[in-house]
Amino acid sequence: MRAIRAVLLGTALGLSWAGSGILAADAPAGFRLVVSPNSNVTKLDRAEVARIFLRKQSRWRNGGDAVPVDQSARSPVRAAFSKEVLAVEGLGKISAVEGYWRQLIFTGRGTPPPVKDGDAEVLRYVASTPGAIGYVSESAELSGVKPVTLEN
Amino acid sequence: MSERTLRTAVLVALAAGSSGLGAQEALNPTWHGYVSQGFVDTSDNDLYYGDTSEGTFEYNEAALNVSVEPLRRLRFGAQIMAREKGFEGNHHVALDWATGDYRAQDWLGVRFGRVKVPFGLYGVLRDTDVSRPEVKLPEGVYPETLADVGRAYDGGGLYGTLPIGGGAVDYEAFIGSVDLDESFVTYQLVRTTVAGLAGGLGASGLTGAQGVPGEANTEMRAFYGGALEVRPARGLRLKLTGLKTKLDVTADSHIDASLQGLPVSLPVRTETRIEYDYYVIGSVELARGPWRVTAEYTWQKLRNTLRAELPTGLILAPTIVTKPAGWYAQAVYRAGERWQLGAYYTESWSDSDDKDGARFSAVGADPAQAWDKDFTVHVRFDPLPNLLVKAEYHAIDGTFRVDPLDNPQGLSPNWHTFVIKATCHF
Repeated sequence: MRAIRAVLLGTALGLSWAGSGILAADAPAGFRLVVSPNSNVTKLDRAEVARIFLRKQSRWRNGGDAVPVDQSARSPVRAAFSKEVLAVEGLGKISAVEGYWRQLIFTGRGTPPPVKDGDAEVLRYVASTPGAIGYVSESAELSGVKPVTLEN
Repeated sequence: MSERTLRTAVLVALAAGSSGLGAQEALNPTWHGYVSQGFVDTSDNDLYYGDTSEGTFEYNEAALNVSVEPLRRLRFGAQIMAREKGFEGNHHVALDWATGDYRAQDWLGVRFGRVKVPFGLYGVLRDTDVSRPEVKLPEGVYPETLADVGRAYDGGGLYGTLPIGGGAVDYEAFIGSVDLDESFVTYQLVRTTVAGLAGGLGASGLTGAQGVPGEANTEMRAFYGGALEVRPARGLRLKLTGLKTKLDVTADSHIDASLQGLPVSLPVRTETRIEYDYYVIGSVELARGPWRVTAEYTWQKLRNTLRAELPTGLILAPTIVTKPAGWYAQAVYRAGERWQLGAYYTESWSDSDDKDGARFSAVGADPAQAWDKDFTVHVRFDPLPNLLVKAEYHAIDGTFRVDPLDNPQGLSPNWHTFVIKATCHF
């Protein structure tokens, strides 16, 4: 059994070494919050945005469905969004957010928001979906959507 | 839940999904799954599921689930699962959960079908290795031997979230039943009961009596409970979970023995009532930056009543009342996106009125059977987005969690457990 233990530990450590460069987190970048063009929301606090993206709050305060859309887990914009917003729920790292969703997915208690690849897809989704809210990089050209100020 | 009910639920979801919804709401099933393989090695005592003191790879599971959201507030999903844990599971594919979930408002939703039982902070994650930092949840609050009871119920419940100040209150209430006919907990109950009856036959001239547990039927007479979670401040969770259950177990077993050198087999019918007057868990979790610190305490009141029919006569045992209890404290540190390091200390007692094991001592048994004290260090590493590896070491004092029937050589009160497990998921 000692030999098996040694092999298993060696495998784990080997994976540790091999994987050390694979998931290097991208440096956080800035982001901007956007909502669908017919929304009358102009500013939001972090706690409310976090609740919406974690699907703990499904409606806007003034009524209507709040429909969040995420970016890919490898996106630096998502890293920035998690660090700046979801950290208020203790989920400042993407891995923590993914862990949160896996808890719900594998227990039948919830599913994450749709994920879009890149700013252009998010902007398209938000522009065409009533009640939608997303985040894009600071350099994205905002057309067909409405920017929202993040407070607190 | 029957397979027919599940099929009906899926058909309803499909019908809803194709009934004129907008393009973005169109039925779009999402699939997830995982495969886990572990290795368990104990230093002395064998755990209930096999020869763990020799080391065993019979410690694995796989699951596949699908979810659909035919409407914004309506969701259906189901997960099948197969596990092998020593003799338990044997890779039999079972329906783990299958739920319909309609959330009319944030403060009011309804779940129905086969639903995971809300059980402390992490009870729903018991079979979801991918969602937690350790392999084994702290046994003081999440005992492996009771996993079948707290896994999932067939029934329904209400849940919701109420904003309060800067925080929120989550609630959940449920009622249903749990099918325990082929569960480990039922098998263990019958095995222990028949072994006890066999041990009491010495005075009747029988020698070498061995209880052989037979098939059992269970009838869940009550299974309901609820959970209330308050999140008063950033990163802080306070939770109270309560459960009440009453279960009747009937089994036709037999006892093999010798009478004056001739083998005899005595049929024995046992009817056992297990009733938890209360099963409560109080929980606190604080998450700050890379740290998560948790403490949970459970206190219970258990009634056990036995009626046994043997050829030698009828046995009506008096109701035995015990108060099992346990707790743990845990700290987990998330080091970057790939590593999670943690440690916990957990204690549990078969009866909180006999923490020092005086009742065991009184009958000549080792008092260490009254408690379990486990200090564990664990590490989780996610080398790839869909792969994780965990390892942990348990230093244990006490034998409350191991059964003398699994360890005929005797129990060692100071022992340790080593576990390593790898999981692929998508």
